[in-house]
Amino acid sequence: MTLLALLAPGCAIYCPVYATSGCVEVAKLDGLGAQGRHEALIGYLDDERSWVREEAAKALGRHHVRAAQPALRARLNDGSERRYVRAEAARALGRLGARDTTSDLRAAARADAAPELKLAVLEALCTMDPAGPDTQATVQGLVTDEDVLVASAAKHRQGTGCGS
Amino acid sequence: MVLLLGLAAGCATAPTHMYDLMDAEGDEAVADALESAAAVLTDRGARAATREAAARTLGRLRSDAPAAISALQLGLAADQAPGLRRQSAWALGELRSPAALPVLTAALRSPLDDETGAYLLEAVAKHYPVMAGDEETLVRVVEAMVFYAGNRQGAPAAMYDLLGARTRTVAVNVRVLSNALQTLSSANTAGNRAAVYNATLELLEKVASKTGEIRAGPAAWSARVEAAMRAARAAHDADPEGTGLLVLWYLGQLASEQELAGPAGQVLAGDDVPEAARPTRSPRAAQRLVAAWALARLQAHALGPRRALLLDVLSDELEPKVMQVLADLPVRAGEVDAVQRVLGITGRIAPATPGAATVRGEGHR
Repeated sequence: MTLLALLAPGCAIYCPVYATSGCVEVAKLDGLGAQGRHEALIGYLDDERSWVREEAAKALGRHHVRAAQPALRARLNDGSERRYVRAEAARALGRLGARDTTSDLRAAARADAAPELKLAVLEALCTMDPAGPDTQATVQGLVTDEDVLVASAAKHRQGTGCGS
Repeated sequence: MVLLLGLAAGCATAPTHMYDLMDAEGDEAVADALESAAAVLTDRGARAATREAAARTLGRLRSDAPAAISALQLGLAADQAPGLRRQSAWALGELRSPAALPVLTAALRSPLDDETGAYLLEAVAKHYPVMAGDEETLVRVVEAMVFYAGNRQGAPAAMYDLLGARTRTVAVNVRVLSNALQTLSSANTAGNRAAVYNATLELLEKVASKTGEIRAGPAAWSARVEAAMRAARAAHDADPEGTGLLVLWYLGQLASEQELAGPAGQVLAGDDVPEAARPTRSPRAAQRLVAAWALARLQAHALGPRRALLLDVLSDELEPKVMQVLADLPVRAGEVDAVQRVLGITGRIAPATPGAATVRGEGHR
């Protein structure tokens, strides 16, 4: 390995030693989306590192990769997944307009769910189906959430027509 | 070899390595991850992006160990870059821990740009369940929020009002006002008078917002209402020309609510208020004018206001504008006016008929 390779951004020696998926940077994930390399990007939803899964979900939503819907849904519905990965999966489904996942989203925002997941579900449902029954029920249910941010976001959504 | 090790060490502190620490599981691994992230965050020589990644990781690990709290406290310090301060505020918010809250409230008293302030307020809001049942903590949080709002240009972020609505109960507002009055008594500065004014306004607005609940359950609310009125009176006395006028005007506004008008009338002109302390005896005409207006509205629900109006205004007032206030108060058709009410004239006025006397009361009390 030449000195030049050692000095290359991303520390090419270190990353493969640490992770089997190899060296990943946030910009690389978004780049895959921009380049249309959707399959590779979807593959990162199974990466062993939670931050990679999170960033992959973000990129999939940002680049409207519809083919990612089943994988994103799986992440959302996986109760053992990190809350922040589930949250980004929810947001991404909202950006994809995945209306057939509204019941999954509503179920994910149950009372004991993490606040950030509830917030992401609110955002997703209001983006893709503001007048739908799952959206209305979710917004109504979260208006009295004990988390201040969740309750205020739900009230705002209710007041602005998402869930009314 | 030295170069290789140096590069490896550099790689080990890249932002993505910090993110990798988020997946630590088990007490020992989490403790190690926490230590690594805290070490990077507190290393002022490390790259900004890596320090921010370290803060983000500490937020994700959600450990409120002292090492994490103190590292994030350093990241939040006023001399740190805005990006790091915001990430540290966010991370402290994620902890939702009694240990993190004092760090956040202290930071509200530091110099803050708008965006960092917004991050901080959100982080405090995430701690609402931690503070909800503890009046002492709520008072400290509210006072920090008031300091923050009072030391910036323009309106604070929307979260300020949202958080205020939850934290500023009547009881908390009474305590905040009492503390502000104490500060004013030791240093009568413009800033301290402004603090008293703001605290009084917040208290009276909160009371006004609760009129529905008060009406529905007056017994449950009576102690809190009385405490609020006493605190408002104290604020009036501490700064008659500023806050005093606010108190008189606001209590006059609340006169239509019987559960509030009674206690308000008591603190302004009740039996235990010495004559010289009645606002209708103030040496300032503006005070007497607003007081006359307020007491005229309050007299329906308490005897003190009526007595003060009779003895101080109708008997002794020389300023015509003060008298005019009583005459100008609106009268419902068929009812006696404010002056008649002061004089104890009761009953309804007979409708006017051509050629006949137009006013006939039903007698004096």
